[in-house]
Amino acid sequence: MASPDDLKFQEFEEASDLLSSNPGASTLSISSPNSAGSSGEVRVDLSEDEDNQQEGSELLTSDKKTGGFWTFDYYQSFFDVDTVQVLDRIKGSVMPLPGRNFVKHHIRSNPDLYGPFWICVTLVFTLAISGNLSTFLNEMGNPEYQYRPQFHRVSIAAVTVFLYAWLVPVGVWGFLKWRQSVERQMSGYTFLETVCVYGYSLFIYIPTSILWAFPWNWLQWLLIAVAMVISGSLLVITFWPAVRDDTKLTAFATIAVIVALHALLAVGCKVRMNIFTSLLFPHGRKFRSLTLWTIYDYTLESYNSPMSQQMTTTDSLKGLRLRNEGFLDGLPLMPNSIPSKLPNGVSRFMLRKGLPPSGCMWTWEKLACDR
Amino acid sequence: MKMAEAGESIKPLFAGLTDISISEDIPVEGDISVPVGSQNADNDFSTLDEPVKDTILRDLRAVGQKFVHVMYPKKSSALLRDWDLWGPLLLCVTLALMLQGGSADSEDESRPQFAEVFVIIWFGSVIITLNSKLLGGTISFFQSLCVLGYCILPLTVAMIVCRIVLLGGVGPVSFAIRLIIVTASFSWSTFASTAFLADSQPANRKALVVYPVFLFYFVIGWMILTFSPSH
Repeated sequence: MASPDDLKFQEFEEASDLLSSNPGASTLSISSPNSAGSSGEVRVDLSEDEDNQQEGSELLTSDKKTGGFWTFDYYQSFFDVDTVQVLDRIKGSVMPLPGRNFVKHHIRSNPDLYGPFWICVTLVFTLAISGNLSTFLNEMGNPEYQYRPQFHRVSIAAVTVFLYAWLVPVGVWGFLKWRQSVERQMSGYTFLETVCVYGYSLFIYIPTSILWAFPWNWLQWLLIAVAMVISGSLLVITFWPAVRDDTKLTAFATIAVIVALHALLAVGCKVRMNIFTSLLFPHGRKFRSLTLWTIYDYTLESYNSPMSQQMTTTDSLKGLRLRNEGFLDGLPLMPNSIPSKLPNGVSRFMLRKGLPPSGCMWTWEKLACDR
Repeated sequence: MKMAEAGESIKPLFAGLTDISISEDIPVEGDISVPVGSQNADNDFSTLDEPVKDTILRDLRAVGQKFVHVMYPKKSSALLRDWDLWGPLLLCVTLALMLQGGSADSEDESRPQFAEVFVIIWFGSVIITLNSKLLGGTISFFQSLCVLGYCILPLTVAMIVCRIVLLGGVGPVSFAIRLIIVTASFSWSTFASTAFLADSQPANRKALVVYPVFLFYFVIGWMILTFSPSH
């Protein structure tokens, strides 16, 4: 990059002219630990000095935002990217190399909001769709299963992803700014660059979430590990130069918090998706009625009675009602013999939904149909 | 005459003009052509007097003509020139009515509610329009909404066909047929809207604008494909 270097060089030249004309003047040293002090010649250190480069790029960014935040042009300046640039940034986020800072190398003082926003939207929909698909694939052998697209997944996924991708950068940026004001040596990133880094780091989760649809546990954990390594290392490489000038403890704590939040997101997505599948198949069998059988089992144990037909109907129905109320599918289950007269406190609601198809009846273990 | 004398006395440059005399007898004749705009204004004012049937039929004809343009997407600017939002509203309401869930207790998880489909379609269109404008597109806000709404027509047709197919059963065969129909109609929608929208974007950002449109129709197609009948 020629232009920031040129700018930097000219600044130093003016300073040296001023100094030579008036040697006794007091000068303010520009924040660069490598340049010599104010005595005599000012040496320009052109070796890789990230702070100076960051200052140069900050000077460029400060000229770019035109108009107040109520004008359309202000927001248009955030979308000033081409197709090639977006693809290049995505490639850079998928393959983070230790030498290349994502912000310096790819964003280069042109942060955009297109990438983060549309990556978040895509991630929301792929999470919802693949969660749906995984439930469907788990229950392929079940003749009783009716496919249900669960649209509440979309809203849950949307809230989670957008909160993470937009609130966490606020926190990180604010923290870095605060540390920067305390310790003058550090250089932080602008808010948009932080949002950009977080947004592009989420890209690796899109193919990961599509592959999560396969119900094999080992594959899912492997995918999580790979995704966390890649995007976590991208974040660490980006934020390490901004934090390393601080005290050791603060630096490590910051990096640890960033990585922990990222891991929480990854594991949270998988766990949330798996809550649905594990509730349905606790022992890996493929009948839907097993759900309540297992839960009912826990209820039986709490009543300390054996799992046989010798318990009273009242106890069994009471246990069922307690467990049924909180369950998502709302699928009730009746023991082998349905009493003609219901005891007090048992709702008709449960019975209405639980009628087995004709010719079948619920038993303790499965739906037994006479076919 | 007085002016000529004054000109003669003050500015000798205009001396040649003093010879010209204009009498009031020369008839002035010619043709005055009235520009077309004022004629249209007259027509607009006079539509108050026409019967209501004519007004409705005129709007319906305009909507129908745009449907034809969507089904056979050529590079015509009819959709962009006279945009209207009746067609998108009609299509959106039809789709949402067909997709919505039934009673609240049994099927509340399985199908989207009317409001959810409505909000997804309109909110999605607005966001895509904002996105294309922010990327430097020259299309206006309502024109873009109009195009995106009209290009839902293939997906609505696919929804009707899928419902008919579902009457025949819910096996893997019907799923395969529905998959093919929905895929074909979703790519048709994307292709049609790209044909109308892509011209207004700068050349190096076309893909950035087409991708959200693709995602939008993909989500709607997914909702149609996963529609399951009530039992």
